[in-house]
Amino acid sequence: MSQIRFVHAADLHLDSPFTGLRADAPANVADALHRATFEAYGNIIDLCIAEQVDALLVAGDIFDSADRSLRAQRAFVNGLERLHEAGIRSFICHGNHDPLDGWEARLTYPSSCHRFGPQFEGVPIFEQDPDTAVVYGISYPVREVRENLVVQLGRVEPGPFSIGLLHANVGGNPNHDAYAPCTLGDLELSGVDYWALGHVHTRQTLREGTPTVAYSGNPQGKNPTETGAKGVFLVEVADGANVRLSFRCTDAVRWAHLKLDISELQTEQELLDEIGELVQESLSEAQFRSLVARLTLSGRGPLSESLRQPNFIDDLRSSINEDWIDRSPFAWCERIENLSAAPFNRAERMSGSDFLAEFLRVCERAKADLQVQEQLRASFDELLNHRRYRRDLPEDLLKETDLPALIDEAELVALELLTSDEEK
Amino acid sequence: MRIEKLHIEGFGHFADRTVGPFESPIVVLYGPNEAGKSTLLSFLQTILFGFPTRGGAQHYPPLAGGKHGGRIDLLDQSNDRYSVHRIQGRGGGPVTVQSGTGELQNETTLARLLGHHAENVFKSVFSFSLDELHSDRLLKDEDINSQIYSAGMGVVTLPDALKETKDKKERRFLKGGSKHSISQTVEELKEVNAKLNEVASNAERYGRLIERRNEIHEKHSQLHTISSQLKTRLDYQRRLKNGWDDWVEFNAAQESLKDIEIITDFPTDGLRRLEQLEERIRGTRQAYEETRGQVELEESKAKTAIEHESILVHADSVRYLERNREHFESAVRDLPPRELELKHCEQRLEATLKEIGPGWSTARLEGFDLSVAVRNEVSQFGERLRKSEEALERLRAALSQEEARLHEAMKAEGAAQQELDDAPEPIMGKEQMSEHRATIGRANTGLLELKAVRERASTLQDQLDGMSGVAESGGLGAHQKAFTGLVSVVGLGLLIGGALLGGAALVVGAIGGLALIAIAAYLLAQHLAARASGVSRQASPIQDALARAEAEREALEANLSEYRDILGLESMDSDSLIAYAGVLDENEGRIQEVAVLRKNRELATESTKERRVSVEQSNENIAAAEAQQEQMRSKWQQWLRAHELNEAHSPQVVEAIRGKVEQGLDRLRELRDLQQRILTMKESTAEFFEAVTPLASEFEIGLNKDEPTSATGAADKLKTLHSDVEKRARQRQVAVEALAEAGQRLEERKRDLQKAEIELKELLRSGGASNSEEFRKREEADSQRKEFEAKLRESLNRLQRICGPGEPLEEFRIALSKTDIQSIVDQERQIAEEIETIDSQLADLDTEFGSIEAELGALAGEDESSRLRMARSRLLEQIREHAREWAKLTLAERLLGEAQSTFERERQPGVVRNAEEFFKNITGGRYDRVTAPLGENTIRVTERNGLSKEPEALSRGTREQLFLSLRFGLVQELCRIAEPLPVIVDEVLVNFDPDRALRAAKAFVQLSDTNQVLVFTCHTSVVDYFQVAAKELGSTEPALIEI
Repeated sequence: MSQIRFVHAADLHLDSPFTGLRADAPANVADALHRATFEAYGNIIDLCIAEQVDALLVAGDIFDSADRSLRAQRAFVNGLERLHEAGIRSFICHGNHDPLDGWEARLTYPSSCHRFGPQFEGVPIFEQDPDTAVVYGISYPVREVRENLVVQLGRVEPGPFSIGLLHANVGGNPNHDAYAPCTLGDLELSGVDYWALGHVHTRQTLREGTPTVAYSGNPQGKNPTETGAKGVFLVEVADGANVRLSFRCTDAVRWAHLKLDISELQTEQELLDEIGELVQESLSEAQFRSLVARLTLSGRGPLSESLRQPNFIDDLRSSINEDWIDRSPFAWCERIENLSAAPFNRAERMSGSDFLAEFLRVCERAKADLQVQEQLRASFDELLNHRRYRRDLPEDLLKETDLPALIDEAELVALELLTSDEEK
Repeated sequence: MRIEKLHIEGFGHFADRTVGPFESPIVVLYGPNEAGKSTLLSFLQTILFGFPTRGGAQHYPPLAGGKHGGRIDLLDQSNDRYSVHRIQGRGGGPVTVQSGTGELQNETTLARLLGHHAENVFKSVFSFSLDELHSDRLLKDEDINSQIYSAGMGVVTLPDALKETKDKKERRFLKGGSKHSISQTVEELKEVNAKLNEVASNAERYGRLIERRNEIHEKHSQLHTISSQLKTRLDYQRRLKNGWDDWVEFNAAQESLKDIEIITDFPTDGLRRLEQLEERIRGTRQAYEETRGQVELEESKAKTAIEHESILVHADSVRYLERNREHFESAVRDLPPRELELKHCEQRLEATLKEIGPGWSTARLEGFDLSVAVRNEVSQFGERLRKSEEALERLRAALSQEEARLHEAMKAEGAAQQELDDAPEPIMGKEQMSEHRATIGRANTGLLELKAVRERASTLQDQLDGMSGVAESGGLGAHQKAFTGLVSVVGLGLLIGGALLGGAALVVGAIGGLALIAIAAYLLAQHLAARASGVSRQASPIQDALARAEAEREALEANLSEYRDILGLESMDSDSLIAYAGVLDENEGRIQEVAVLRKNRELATESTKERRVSVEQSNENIAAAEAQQEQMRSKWQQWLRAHELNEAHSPQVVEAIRGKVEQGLDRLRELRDLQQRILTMKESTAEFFEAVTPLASEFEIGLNKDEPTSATGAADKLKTLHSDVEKRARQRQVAVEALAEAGQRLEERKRDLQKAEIELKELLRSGGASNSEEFRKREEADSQRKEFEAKLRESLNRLQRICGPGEPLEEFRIALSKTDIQSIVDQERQIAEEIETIDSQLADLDTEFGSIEAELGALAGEDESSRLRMARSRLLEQIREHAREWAKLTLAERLLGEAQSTFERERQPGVVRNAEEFFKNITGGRYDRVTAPLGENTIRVTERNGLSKEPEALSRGTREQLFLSLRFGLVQELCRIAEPLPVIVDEVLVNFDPDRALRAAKAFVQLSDTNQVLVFTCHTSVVDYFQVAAKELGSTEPALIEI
């Protein structure tokens, strides 16, 4: 049997906004971010054409229906047309962000594209040779699909190499909504040789061999937590059974989380130099893609006091951005988290008899006592239940907050104020 | 430390006063107002801590005497006795500390006895009056409030920390506020959401537009099909309409052909050819006739005879006359005036010759040398003569000036001589004068010496007289007096002599005179000094001296007599000498005046001499110039003679003659020109006459030889005649030539006519006609037939074209045969209207389609929603960030508050706890809590019912009780770590109600267990409180000391 080659992509989220950015990006960065999902998709199409694959498979969440972005849908169809012209077929299913009942521009898809409906169906990759490979896919009819869709598939016909195209949460990944939940076992039982999954943005191979079960992850990181290389799987099937996966980067802008311990740093210049090196390393790792970085400073050292000066962090961020923003590729530091603190022996201070000791003991009790935490959490209601703002505040605002961690931060704030004259 | 006794040496109104001993733990010092309680309190503080460093002397000055200060006897905790003695002085006053055994102690001992407390602490805590109790200064003293409030970590900064936390929190979110970050971000978010909603409607519109676009597409296709069909039908109807006329014509032609005879081989284009031939014959015949008329006309012209034709032979003579006619006429006209002008010329020349001078003729005029060289010679002579004349004039003017100056000099000389003659003569010469002056000097000296000698002699005589009987006399010695007087007189003489002599003598005289007067004064003084000692002299030497003096006097008098004679004076005394010296001075002035006048006269004489020489010199110069001028004149006359001119002429006259000669020559030339012109004119008129005369005779034109104008008239007639004959001859020649040409043309016309007539006959024959009329009839029939046949073909061809290529013509003809034009037109109009309607609908659809396409493109390309979603995402993130920060600060605030409550509840300082106990007791338990809030310089009390108050909110008495309690707390706390000091209070219970006053007294009694208590009061009730309190508590009765 001849070789089958296809690209497995998912979660394109074309034209959906980047999240987690609180600062206004400069024009060139904003522009790059606007274009990033489209460029990543363009890279996928380029890859398909360059590699002369047999098909492109997209496992849902191509765009966010709620966004109603014509631009996204047109761009998607344009890409498929390019594939059509190159003689490459495309198979797509829809997920929770682009369900079948969601808003959709009435665009004409090329004839070489097959969009799966709300029921599982099998479609041969090669029309002339239907026994070589078959793609089984299903789309979400609505956003909230809470049932196990794999069960609907049953067991596929043996013979052709079978590929399952599905948007689902396999194994109950807690970081993602539990849509179309199923287990790895369910997938194994289906008789499908390769499960091309979407929904989880982190690239992972849940199972190798037969069947091979993989999330390609999203082709472009969408928020500060989606760091590192993003892309698609190029899948090559030899002799109708041996599956080989190779990851291909497609992201246009890369997210990085830079971490710097300031304990050993003596001067502001050393700090800037260290940050410069970190940025340079990240750019190299990103193979000179543009970078959006979040910087976390930690440790206790001589620079702690400077870092706590008003505006210092803002100035530092401006300084970094001045250095890197106008380059090509650029690096933009979107946020600096300062978790550094002045040298402070907490345990020793807590054993004292002064007010500071009392305060530290109060904090310690609060972190240990869930009842106290509940009382503290109740104080947030002043904001969350505010009649004027509650409708506009994010639903999950402060809901998932790790209170002990927040108490630690509160303690740090109070300590800085209480010990402000101690250092003078 | 306990105070045992006070000994006041001098302080305020106390002097040498001892107060004490204080034997009881509580001592009440009672005294009415102004007894000196405050003075005693101040004494205590002053001796222990020193006088004020500034104004110490004014600090309770010792009004009743004694040294400013005193002594305090003390006992320490071990009951060892000490005395502290201090007197006002520098640095707070010297202090002496002695032990009970009299040993001097150093200052450390005093510090120890005072528990190492600073003065301010002692005064605030241990020794205070009602005023101090009322004030909250206690809380503001840093040394003290550090005892009250814990200075521990975190406490000082807590209020700031709480405030800053609150401020930061409220900047993020404040219930009821609108300026906080969350509010602002939410507002921004609302705006973005609103815009997103707007943009979202774009998507709906996109869908609707797509649907509509598809509908339009379908409808467009349908209408387009119908329109095409209609257009095909319309086209057919239009072709029928277009073909209708042809169809009608075709039918008509077919009908007409049936009635027309068929003629074969009728000449092509026969009628036109016939008409052309007939026209040609008519034209040719007419031309022939016209040409023949011309031949006859020209023939008559060519035979015409011309009168005076012979004049043509004299054409050259006639042209000469014509050319010179004007010239002749002007010559005849100009001759008389020119001859008159000639006469005038001759007269003017004659006059000019006369003006130049007698003997001048035209020949001499022409011989006169007018060359430039001669002209220059005359000019040079003129110049030289003029210059020599000018030089002579200048010399003559100089001479008259010199003569005037000589006259002036002579006048001055006479005046100088007159002045000299008028001046007075000196009485003596210079040498004699100097001799007399020397004599005056000597006489003067002689006079002085004589006077001195006389006085000396007189003195000596007096001495000698005294020697005999007045030896015991204490008066001044006569010789002494005499010498002194002599010296004085010589001195005066020198002064006067100097004055008389003047100049240097005055100076010498003055100095010498003054010196001598001084010596005399000295001698007189010496003598007076020597008065007491007494000196006696011998008589003999005096007599000798007297004799010498007398001899001297005589000699001097002889000399003076001689001088008088020399000077010619009548007497010899100082006055005569001074007067004679004046005469000499006057004479010296005269001598000088005469010398000056003489010098003046000599200068005037010299000047006269010089002027005279100048006059002579001028005369000589004039003579020389005149000789030179004469020589020049002689040369000039010589030149005049050489040029045959009058010797009296000056060069200017010769120049004038020369001008006249030039003028005369001009006139001569003018005369000769005129003569030549008149001659020429006469010759030309004669020549003209000669030319005209024979012609006039030949052609019988009248001519008067004496009348020049008749010649011009004859010449004009000859010219006219010649022109006329010449013209007629040319006309006749033209007619001859035209006759030849017309004859030739007449022949040609004749040939043409014959040829055309032959061609006409041939044409008639070919048309089968015998004459033209028959030919025309036959031709008409033939033409009609051909015309109908052509129409038939053409209409068929057009029908074929209209029918269209490939279309069966037969069907088209059948269709035409089955309809009529009205039906066709109606059909066409109906179909066209239908098409118009459909086309209009199609255009509307196209327009709508285009706008939909454009809108779809715009909607698909917009990235506004993308940008807005990005903004929304960013704002949501900002809200999260603000909320998290707010939550963090809320927690920090809550946790700090919690820690504060716990700390205040559980960890109040000892001072406050002690004070709380006292205050609770004094107020009878109404207030059960006293707290020092963290980081705040205040005290808060809490009533039993939980109501919390700050000191400002308490009544005066209660506030005093609170501050008293605080002091009790402080006393106890301080005494825990240092020497317990006496507590000294001045009227602190007066604002307390009796109950609380007693409770307070009890507190004092309790305090007296550890600290001596001294109570100053003027109220017996206070004494009673303490006594009652001590009794109730079973303590030692307070000691009462009245001040």
